[in-house]
Amino acid sequence: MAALKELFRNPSPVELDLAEAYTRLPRHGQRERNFEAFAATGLPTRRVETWKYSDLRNALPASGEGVVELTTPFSALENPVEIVFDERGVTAPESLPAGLKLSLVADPRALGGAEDLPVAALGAALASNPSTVQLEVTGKVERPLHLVFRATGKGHFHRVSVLFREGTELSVFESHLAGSGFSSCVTEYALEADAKLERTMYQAASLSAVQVFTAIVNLAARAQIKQTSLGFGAKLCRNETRVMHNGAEARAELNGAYLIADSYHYDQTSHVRHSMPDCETGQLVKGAVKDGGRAVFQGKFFVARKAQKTAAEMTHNALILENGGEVNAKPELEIYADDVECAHGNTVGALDDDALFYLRQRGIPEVQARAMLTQAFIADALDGAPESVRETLLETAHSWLTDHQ
Amino acid sequence: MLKIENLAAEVGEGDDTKQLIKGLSLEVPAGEVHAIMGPNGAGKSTLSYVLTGRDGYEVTGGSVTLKGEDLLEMEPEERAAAGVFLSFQYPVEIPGVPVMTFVRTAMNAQRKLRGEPEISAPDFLKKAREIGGKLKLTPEMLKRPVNVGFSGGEKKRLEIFQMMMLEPDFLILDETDSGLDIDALKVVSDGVNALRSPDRGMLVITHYQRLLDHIQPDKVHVLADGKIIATGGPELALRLEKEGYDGVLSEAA
Repeated sequence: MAALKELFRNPSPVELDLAEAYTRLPRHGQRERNFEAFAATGLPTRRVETWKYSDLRNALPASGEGVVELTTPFSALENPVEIVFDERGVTAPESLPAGLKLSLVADPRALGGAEDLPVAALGAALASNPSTVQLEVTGKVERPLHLVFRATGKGHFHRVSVLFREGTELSVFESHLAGSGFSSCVTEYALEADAKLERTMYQAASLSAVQVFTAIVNLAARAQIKQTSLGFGAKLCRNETRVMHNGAEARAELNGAYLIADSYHYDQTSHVRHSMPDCETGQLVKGAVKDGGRAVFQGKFFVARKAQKTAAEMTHNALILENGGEVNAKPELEIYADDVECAHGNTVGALDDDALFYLRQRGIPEVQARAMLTQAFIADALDGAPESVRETLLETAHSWLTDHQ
Repeated sequence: MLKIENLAAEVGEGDDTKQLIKGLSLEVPAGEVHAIMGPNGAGKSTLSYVLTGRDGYEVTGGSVTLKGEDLLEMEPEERAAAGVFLSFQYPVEIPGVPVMTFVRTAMNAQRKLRGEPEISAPDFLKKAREIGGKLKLTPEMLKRPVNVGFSGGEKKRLEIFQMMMLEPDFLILDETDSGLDIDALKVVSDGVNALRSPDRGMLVITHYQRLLDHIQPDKVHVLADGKIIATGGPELALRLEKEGYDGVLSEAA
């Protein structure tokens, strides 16, 4: 314990608690490496560049008391393979459909790029025992996979990895529900050549919760990820995605929408690394913020010298619904190849007065008109969601807009 | 029906405040169609926004009543439910909101404000199909987002579509002829004429006489510098067309 403390510079009480939780877990080399990667940065503050708009250290400790029942629109999925990560640990079905294998691994690999992802490294270091759920997609899977992360109580740390064998496909739904406490969950997706991942996420939390979830996605040649998320924030919520185009002609589409009410904070961060030629990335993130709410969008496209013919486009559009709402956006392109098509666009504005008056002139009351326009504004960021849940996601957004007038 | 008395209104704030309506009086009885003509900058569009309650247009004097009800006290949506419909000079694009959803929401919102039951989905669809057919709006077009990707003529037809669906008591047509070719003008004015009825009034705001060949007014008013300066029958519009606004304006002065 004494030695652990020395890993941190000026440890905060929360960091000491985390260190103590770590000492109670069985020791093994990879877990230790992950914890060290976390300790090198500690809980990020605004002074850490990648966390400058989301001061995690300041948001902690998170209360252990909060909402117990949060629902997910993915509960309407038909016959999903559901794996639940909660206080009791991991609950998985006894038998899995053909094409999907599950194993629990005590000593998984250290997290890739852990140094840049201190909070994900923490999640991996403290992940409950056995520490990692590993799934392998070996063939055609008829059912969708639903990963449910349900944080209650004080701390909640999980790690799950999914390996897609060559040419396989799977639709994965993730529900990130945080009723209270501090949580950090890591999902790793490794896609072999020609594999396809459809990843759809839903996030909801109470104001007691500080919630971080991080995905690390590795794409081999011609592999594809199509991602859509809908988030409502938490006391502080960070939804981070890292994508590595490791093979030529890989494709990523990273869309998302957010709706943020008073006192909620939602941070959508992504980092896409193009290392090989002919890869494509598209990103459309849209959101709206009420008085006292705060949204953060950070998007980075990195294009290595070798990654010629990269086509990448990033768009973030936000609406400030009321004075007092705040949106911080940091789109970044870092390009070392000379034959690429990369662009980014970012707008933050208010609802269009002309449109609002048009709706009201037709008899639609102002609050309803605002809700309608806001929903329409974010809708195209959810257009890419699988058909089985697209309407449900829109309805969820609609209910939020109706409840927050 | 619509009674405007000595209306004064301004737009803008602080030093930018401009008085645009300066003591305007006008009465349109039920069953009549009145035209308002005037040169650019006379206050024609301002009048339509003041009547419909747009933010930023402040009434500083006078009164406006519809069927005896004080319109100026009402929010824009309440005026709509009370029967006021404005066909916009520049219909607004609403990305992400399909026409059918929009019109149905508007219709039910108005009914709710009036304490009436909602229209059933089949009744609504039937009515929309029928009226869409008359205006040459295909079901495919009615599924598209409001005004997005519509040509100028299509946008105006969509305004008439909404008008025929909502069946308001009082119509204000703001430069409905602008951007229309002859064929579109005919479709639009046929739609407007179909709505003429003894219970309904209309105010047709236009710069050119051309529209009045198709929608024949009972009375023509000339608006200049925020006031009605001349009122007459349809022949007044013809005279304006021939002599231009200058003649009538100098006569009034």
